[in-house]
Amino acid sequence: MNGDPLHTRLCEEYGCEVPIVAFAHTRDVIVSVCNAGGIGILGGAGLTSDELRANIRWIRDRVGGKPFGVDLLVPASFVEGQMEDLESMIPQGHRDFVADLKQELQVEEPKKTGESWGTLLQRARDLLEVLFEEQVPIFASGLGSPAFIIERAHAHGMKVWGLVGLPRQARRQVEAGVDVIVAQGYDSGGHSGTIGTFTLVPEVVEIAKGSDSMVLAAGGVSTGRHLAASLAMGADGIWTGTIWLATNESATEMFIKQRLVDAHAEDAVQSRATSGKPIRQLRSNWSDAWKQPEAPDPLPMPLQGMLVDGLLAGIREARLEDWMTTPAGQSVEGIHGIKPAAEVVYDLVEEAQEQFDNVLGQPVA
Amino acid sequence: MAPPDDRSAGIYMDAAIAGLAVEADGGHEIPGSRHGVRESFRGALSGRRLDQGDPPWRWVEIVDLTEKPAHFEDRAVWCEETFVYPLDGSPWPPPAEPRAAQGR
Repeated sequence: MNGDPLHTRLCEEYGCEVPIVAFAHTRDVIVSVCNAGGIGILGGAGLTSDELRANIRWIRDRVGGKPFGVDLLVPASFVEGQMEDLESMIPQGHRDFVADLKQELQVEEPKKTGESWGTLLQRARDLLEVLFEEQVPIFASGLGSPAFIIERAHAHGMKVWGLVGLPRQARRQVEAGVDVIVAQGYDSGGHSGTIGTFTLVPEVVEIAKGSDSMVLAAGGVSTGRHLAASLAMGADGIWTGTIWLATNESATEMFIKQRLVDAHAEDAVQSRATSGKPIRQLRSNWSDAWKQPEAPDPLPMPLQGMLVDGLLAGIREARLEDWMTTPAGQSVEGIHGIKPAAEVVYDLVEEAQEQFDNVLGQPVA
Repeated sequence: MAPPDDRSAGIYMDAAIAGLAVEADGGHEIPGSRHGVRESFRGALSGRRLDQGDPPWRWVEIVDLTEKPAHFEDRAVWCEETFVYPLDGSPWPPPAEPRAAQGR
């Protein structure tokens, strides 16, 4: 520490200028954040090994040795075998509801197939192998524990980060030697935990106390006030996701960016309507339709996806904007414009510094 | 489902943990998407363990599920051992199978 509250241990150990970590699926965002002094973490879920490798090389060529990483959703659980005759398990009432929507929206239904469970573990292994081969500086495990791979990662000079939603997960990851624990509160987009960020972060900081593990605050973080508060709670930095969706560099559709700007915290709703699993996302006609009194309850995964994948693909192809959405956290409240990613970094820092100045400038009662 | 003990698949029985009551934090990527989901379970260990790959990625099977996600239809779930918590405070994780001693 050099007396600047924004120059944290994360900056010391990783060589970044500010303790801001950006998670994004768009590689251009990663590059911009790294070059603005933060750390970019590319979301690698859904990419093939070749796509992941190409993205890593593209980023590395543009960040000049600055730290960056890749987040993978390694599994924490799975079920053995396949459920049989899945199609027959979809109730007729659900089929009728979706058929009515399809007719109302007048969209075609291109169908795609999902991945079988049998390949789940090996696919995660294959993606991890790409990170080793490409000597990615940081591997962030966005879901399951990275404990099994830590020793090998450290031997390769790779740092290992882990996202947690519960204190007991943090305790296990600290014991395993995870380098950075990302304490992700309920406010976050996508798959969130059940504990609010303001409760979770200080507890995880206490768990990590005395260990080598650092802590980042995540979930609902989108302003300099959040950054200042996170550091005041003892975190070494922040992990942010939703705010980067509305940057110039993001591949997010422009109309979604504008909806993110217009949205308030209550517009980041949890819905099971897309996959059968709760995902916090920007409210849309789709999430609203499944909340109507006449709508059936969404089916469990994988049935809901089987039921609606085609219709959703048709909606995307027809560009029915009011029916399209994106995962987003309650931090949408802090998005006030579409800006370059670097400007978002600078604004976060400036506002956090103002908060520290305000607090430290007040006389102690 | 694979047989209880299928060493070619890395599955073996560990009688020492069979029947232990546990909670577990699971979760996985949603197939065909780039999103994930967290899931919690409570049940008893069957004693079946799976060591996948090198370095070994260790999993235990939980059955007799008394807590599980809504609409979870399966009778058993495999959970990665790091996020498994014995309810009686038993030491965890259990010792790894002594593969080398068995000449594997």
